[in-house]
Amino acid sequence: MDRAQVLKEIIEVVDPLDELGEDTVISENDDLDSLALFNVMVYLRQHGYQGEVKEFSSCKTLGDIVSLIA
Amino acid sequence: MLRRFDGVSVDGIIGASGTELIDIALMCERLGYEPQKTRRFIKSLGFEQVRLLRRPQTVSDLAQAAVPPLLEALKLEPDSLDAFIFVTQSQDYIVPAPTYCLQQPLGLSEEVLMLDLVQGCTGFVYGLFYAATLLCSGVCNKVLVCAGDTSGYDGRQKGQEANDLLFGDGLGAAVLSRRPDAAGLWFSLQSHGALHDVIIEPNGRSKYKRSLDYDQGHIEDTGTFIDGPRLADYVLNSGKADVLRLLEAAGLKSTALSYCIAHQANKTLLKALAGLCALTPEQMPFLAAHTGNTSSASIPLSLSESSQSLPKLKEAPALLCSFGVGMAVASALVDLRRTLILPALYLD
Repeated sequence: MDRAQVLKEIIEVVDPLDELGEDTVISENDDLDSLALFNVMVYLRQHGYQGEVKEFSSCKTLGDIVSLIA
Repeated sequence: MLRRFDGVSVDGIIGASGTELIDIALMCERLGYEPQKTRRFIKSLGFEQVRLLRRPQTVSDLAQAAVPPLLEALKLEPDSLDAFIFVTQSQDYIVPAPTYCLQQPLGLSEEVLMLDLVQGCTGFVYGLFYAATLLCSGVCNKVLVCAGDTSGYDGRQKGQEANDLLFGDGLGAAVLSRRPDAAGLWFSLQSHGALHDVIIEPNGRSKYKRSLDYDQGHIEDTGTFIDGPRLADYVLNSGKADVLRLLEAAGLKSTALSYCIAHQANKTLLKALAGLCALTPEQMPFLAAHTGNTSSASIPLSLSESSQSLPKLKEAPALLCSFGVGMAVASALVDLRRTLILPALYLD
C-alpha cells in the first residue's frame, strides 16, 4: 500500500476534528488521544504490522506511523 | 499455565448491575465534546450507554442481590457451599477482605473456605480456575465465584477522556460443582507483569500515599491511566495467542465453538481479535453496547443479559476469553450446555 493510501486510512480511523497530515505532531494534536492511538495500533496490526510497540510509541509524527507499513 | 480439569461443572451463572443508564451521547454533550468527537467515541468503542450502580451501593450490594436467586434456582442452601471466591478491584474496604463482609449476609457457613482475589478484566475466568482447582483436588464439592467491579465514571486524566465513556458497573456470580459426567474444563492463563504500567491507577494506594511529596490536604485522584497503543498491541498478540493455544490443546477448530465470549473491552478490539483468531464476528459478539465495559463482570454479565440471543450455547462448547490489567490473559473452554444462565438483575 502506498503512503497516501495508508495516511488516508489512518485519518479515517482517527476521524479527526482538525486536518491531519504526515507532518502532524502526535503529542501536539488533540485528535490523537489515547483512544485514537489505540485504534491506529489495531489498524496497523490488522494490516500486518509486526513491529515492537515501542517502535510505534517512538513515532513523533503521523508520517512516522505511516512509514511503519508503507 | 495450561490445564484441563475433568468432572467440574459450571452449574449456574447470573449477572447484576444497577438501574442507572448513562447515555454516552448526552454525557459527551455535557462534557463539551464536539458532535464529531462524540460520534467517534461511540463508533469505535461501541458503547451507547453505560450501566451504573447508584451510590452508595457497592459491588457487595450486587453480590447480595445476585447470589440468593442463583442459589435458589439451583436448589442450593447457602451453607452447602464449601468455598467462596470473590474477585474485585472495588472492594468496600482495604481491610477486611470482601468475603468476610459478605459471609453472613449471604448465609455462608463458618466452615466455608474464603478466597479474595485482586484481578481486573480477567477476574471471572481466574475465579473459575481457582474454583476448578478446589473441586478437582477433592477439597470442595460446591464453590461460589463472584467477580465484579464498580469502574464507572469518576473523573479522569487529560487525554484519557475515553475512560469516562466506556466503564460500567457490574458483577457476575457462578456456582461450580463436582460432577463425574461433566465435560473437561480447559484453562489457559498467562501473566505479563513487566507490562503492569499499561493500565494503572497511579494514585490509588500506598505507592502514592506513602510517597515523600504526598500532601494529605491535596489528594490528587487521577483515576485509571490506560496506554492505548500498548493495550491494543497486548490484546491482539497475547489474546490471540491464548485463544489459539487453548483450541490447539483441546484439539478443536474455531468452527467447533458455539461462541467466544470475550471480555467486552470495546467493539473495535473484539472485531479485530475475532479476525486474528479466525472467528466470525457472530462467534465473538459485542454484547455490551448498553452496559459498558464492566471489567471482571463483563463475561458473566454479558451471558446473563444476552443468553436468549446466544442459542448456540446449548449446542457446542464456548470459549471465554479475557484480558486486561496486569497485564494478563485468561481463557477457558467451558461446556455451558447444561448451565443454568439466569437473566440479569438490575439493582435500584
